[in-house]
Amino acid sequence: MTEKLKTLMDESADLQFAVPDLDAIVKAGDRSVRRRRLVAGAGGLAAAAVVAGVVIGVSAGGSDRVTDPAAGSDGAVAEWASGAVLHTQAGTIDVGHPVRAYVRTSVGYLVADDDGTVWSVVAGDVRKVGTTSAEHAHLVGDDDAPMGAWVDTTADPVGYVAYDQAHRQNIYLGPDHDGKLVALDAGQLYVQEGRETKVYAVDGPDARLDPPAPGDRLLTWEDGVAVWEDPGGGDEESKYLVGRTEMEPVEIPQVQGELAMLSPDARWLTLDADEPRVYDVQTGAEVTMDVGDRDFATGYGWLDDDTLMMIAGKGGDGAVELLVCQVPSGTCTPDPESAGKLGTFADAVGFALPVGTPLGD
Amino acid sequence: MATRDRAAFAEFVTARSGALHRAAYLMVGDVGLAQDLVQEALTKTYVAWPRLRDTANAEAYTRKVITNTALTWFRRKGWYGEQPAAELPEDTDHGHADHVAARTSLMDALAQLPPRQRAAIVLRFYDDLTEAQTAAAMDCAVGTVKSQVSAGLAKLRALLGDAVDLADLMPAGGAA
Repeated sequence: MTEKLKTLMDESADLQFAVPDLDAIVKAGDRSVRRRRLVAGAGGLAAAAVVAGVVIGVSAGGSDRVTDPAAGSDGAVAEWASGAVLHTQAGTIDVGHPVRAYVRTSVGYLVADDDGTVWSVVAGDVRKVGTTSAEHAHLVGDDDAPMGAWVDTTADPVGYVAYDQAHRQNIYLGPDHDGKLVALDAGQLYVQEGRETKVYAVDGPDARLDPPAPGDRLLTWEDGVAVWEDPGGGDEESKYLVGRTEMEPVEIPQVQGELAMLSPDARWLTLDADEPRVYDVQTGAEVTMDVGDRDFATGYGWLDDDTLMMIAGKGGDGAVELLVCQVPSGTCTPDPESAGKLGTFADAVGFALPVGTPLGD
Repeated sequence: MATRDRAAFAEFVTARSGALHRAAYLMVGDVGLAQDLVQEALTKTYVAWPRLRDTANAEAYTRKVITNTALTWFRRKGWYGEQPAAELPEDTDHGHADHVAARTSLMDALAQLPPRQRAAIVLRFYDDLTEAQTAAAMDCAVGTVKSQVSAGLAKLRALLGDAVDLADLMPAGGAA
């Protein structure tokens, strides 16, 4: 009798289906590979530093300028780097070393160059502060503090190191256990080691992690708000949750790209997918982003509480574009400064985004 | 793309897409959606092709993508309980009327199962996967598969009555 259900399902599904469009599959697959290689980088966008707060930089003209992006996001421009030059809200900064990966802090930047040397960049002062993997550089920064972190390959043993740009001080946090740096926030470094999230206290109170629960996979952390994957179990499906200790977590739809970035005020969440995925953290509602006829767009950093930078393109191998988008209105504007300078998704090389990892790995 | 053997991938698609379509159809109950599901899953399989190494791995990977994508679609689009119960275009079966009725009843009943129960039933009893293979496809524990299958069969029995004999699929002790 076992066959009866099987037989009935066989008969029910005995239909004519269209032959898969192999060319379409291969084209879409190749496009996905190129985009993933370009955008995701070694550690993905999850480690992206949000880029809010006061920006201090040196303009191309050489003068120090101070701007507050939050004061006027209408004039916001996308942040990116090309060669040794950082393109910032305040103008350009030549750091003197090829920028392979970089992140923002509250007062400046941390940059990893092609040799894996880590540089601190604050108000025109560029100084060597550590060494990381040249091939798989991965930095995290705190938008609310003058601090960044990385896996330092010259530490003994190789381990997690934070750098305090205010006090020009390195802090060794502990040996690396092949972990993935997730976030640096409020003096705590969050590292995913297998299915376990480890927290290292840079300063202040003892490290704590609540939520997520043990066994959950932390995706990002900002301003006391965590985004994590609950793997489910029993009759429960795995799901993405966002919340903080004292509030009921909100479920967010899962996406194939599993990376997440919270806005500086932790009100909005963008997930790394082939199409824009922006959510209201308080309700879980998706924000509709108008990216025009582009068939690929994903957030890569927040300029302020409601201004999101996106990398986008259309037509498979089309030109790489950077957009500056407003949330929750969903309006997006192409960034004029980078237009035409980033190549196409087929050949884009030689630029970096402030996500902490090299593009194209 | 040197590491993506297009010829080998094409051979895999030709050989297995029929079976994959049928399983996808049983999971979502709609020919067009099943085709979209398979197309998307095959695209992901193509992307992952260099690390899948052989056809068996590729098929297991594709089934996993189909299953999880279907579950995601159900969750995202709220299909559960909203889908047409049975669309049978270009039916190649010309069997007896009660056979047709039974098949229609089966698709009706499958449509009323929660998505994970439906996926578990299809993977276990249509694809003939073991509990462990089903758990891998669904990205869950074997115990979850057992409970989903048990609950799914119990609901099918309640919905189908005598239309389908599920007796020896039910766990000992009956109603699960």
